[in-house]
Amino acid sequence: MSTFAIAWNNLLHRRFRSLCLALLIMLTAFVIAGGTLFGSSLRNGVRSTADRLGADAMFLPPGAERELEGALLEGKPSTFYLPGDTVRQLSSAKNVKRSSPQLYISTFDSPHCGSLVQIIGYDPKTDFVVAPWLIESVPGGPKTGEIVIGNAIQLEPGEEMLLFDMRYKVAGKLEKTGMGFDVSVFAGMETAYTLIDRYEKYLEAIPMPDKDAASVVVVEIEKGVDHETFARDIRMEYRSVGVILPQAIIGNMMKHLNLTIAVLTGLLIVIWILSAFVLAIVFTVALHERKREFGVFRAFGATRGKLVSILMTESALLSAGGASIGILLLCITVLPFNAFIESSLGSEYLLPSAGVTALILGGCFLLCASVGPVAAVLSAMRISYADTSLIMKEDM
Amino acid sequence: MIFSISGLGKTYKRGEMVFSAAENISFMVDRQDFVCITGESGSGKSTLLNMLTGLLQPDEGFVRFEGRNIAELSDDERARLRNSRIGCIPQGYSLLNNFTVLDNVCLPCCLYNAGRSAYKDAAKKARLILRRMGISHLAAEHPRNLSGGEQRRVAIARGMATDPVLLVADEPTGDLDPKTAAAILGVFGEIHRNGTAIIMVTHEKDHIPFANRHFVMERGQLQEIFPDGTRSSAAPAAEHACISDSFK
Ligand SMILES: Nc1ncnc2c1ncn2[C@@H]1O[C@H](COP(=O)(O)OP(=O)(O)O)[C@@H](O)[C@H]1O
Ligand SMILES: [Mg+2]
Repeated sequence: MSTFAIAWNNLLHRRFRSLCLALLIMLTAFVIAGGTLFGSSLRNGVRSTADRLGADAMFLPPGAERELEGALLEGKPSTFYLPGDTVRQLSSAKNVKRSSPQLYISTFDSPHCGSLVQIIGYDPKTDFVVAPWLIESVPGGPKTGEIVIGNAIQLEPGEEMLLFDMRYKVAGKLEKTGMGFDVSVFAGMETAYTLIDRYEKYLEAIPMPDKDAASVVVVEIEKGVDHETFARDIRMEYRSVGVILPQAIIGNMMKHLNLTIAVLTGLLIVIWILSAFVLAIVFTVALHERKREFGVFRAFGATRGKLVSILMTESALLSAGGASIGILLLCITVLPFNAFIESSLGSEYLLPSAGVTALILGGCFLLCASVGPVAAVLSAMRISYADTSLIMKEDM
Repeated sequence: MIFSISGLGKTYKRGEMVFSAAENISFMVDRQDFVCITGESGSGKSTLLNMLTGLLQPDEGFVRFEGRNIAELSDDERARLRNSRIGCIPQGYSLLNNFTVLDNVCLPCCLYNAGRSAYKDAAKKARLILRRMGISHLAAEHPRNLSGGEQRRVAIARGMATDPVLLVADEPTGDLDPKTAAAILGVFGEIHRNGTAIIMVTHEKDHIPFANRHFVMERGQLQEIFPDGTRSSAAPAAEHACISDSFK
């Protein structure tokens, strides 16, 4: 009879106890795998926001930084302008490799618009930020009267959208970006200017300073140039221009996040240790009441190694079983709702790719499957050192 | 000769006091022997048996089993010896509750052989032994549902499962009614006649006639009682053991 069969039989015999211990490990695995997945989704979300943006720097009116952050990450409506002259000058500023202007226009809750969105006017000729996200490329960008929409907007190409009392044809749709882009509408600059005109009519808003003003200019910096230095130089040269380095925003968010994740990790470690501790106590107590059983095994010729491997197999079976059920449970309860979680937590949360997720779940499985054997080591050592005659002594 | 035991001693600590549970014990056991050891409770009988089977390490003296000094074997080798050559029937209840009667009997045979066919062979043999013990109908039962006498038979069957050359039984009839005890002793007699040596501890004087040799344990000292009623003192036997050992 294999060690496995003996161990399995022993577990079945103490069904209630086995079930309770497996349940404990199941919970541990659920919490640890869930927590780890949550933490890495947060980290992944923040990290990839920087990549997703696709721009090294953004020029904007000084003081509009917070508004832009809201617009970029959450799609919060905002309106601010850089004068057209400045935009032109900036495009040929030192160390700027590529640049493209964008115009931000907010819709507002009114019968004039189909839904509350952020409208971003962009210049398809110079753009390098929006186009890479297009599911199907729109050659030459959206024409006058056409728009491209973010992934979360419930329209399909060919359909129409009402913006400030005019219907616009959807020419293309973006992939899911996990940023404010998802709830934004993109239009060519010409279209954007006409939208702005009507926007100002409906709302007594700050009028546009001149005809080719922009809200921001997205910039790709020349390779090898330090971003901070670049930003400082621009600020020195153009007093009326603010610079945002998305990487820096992300860096700040990362700092906060790392703290949160460290606390989370600490908590998970405590949970792991606690369940190992509970298991160790249960095993040790069980060992006492199983002295006779092990003594009998010894009497008919089991080596100490055999007893240890039976005990270890029992604990490994318990924790591998518990851990796999816990992780399976996580997969069927949480993963299907991940889209919902992602949208309700915003851009800071993004589930890692399937491969990485599988890797994380696998790692958590191993971690939790090891709880049992680790907890059993103490008992196993005590079997090894117990004098067998002492084991035999306890008569029944 | 299977066993030669010489100058065997074991001391235990009881609080601050040290006392001998076994003292200078020497004797030999032959292949044809059915040895019966009697003695009061606490006289050291179990201590002696556990030293014979290598479950307990003696403080003094040595045990030779088939010419090999058990104390010099590794713990694993001693375990393998119990598994293959010596059948142990421990004192008291010694069945594994989570296995059926059949599996209890099979376990020693397939403890180190996980194969399906090994189990099949073991089960076949176990059924045979159970039939000889008159309990083949209980093969699928769990030990808890058996009477005391039936449980003892299962333990004996397990001891016999590996075809040992020697069966060591510690009070196999303890707390059984006289009729059941006599039946168990009948089983031992049959095992003995089939060529297995037996060392049996009992505290029932009635059981002595079943054996062909009788020893008495008294406060750690072992003496043989010969059929004419004379007693041996332990010492000469020990010398005898050493001499015959060195002549081998
Ligand atoms: N591990 C031990 N530690 C201390 N004393 C023990 C131990 N084992 C047995 N004894 C003592 O040694 C004596 C002999 O025990 P045992 O061999 O079990 O006697 P028997 O089997 O003849 O009843 C008893 O007094 C018992 O209390
Ligand atoms: Mg005893």
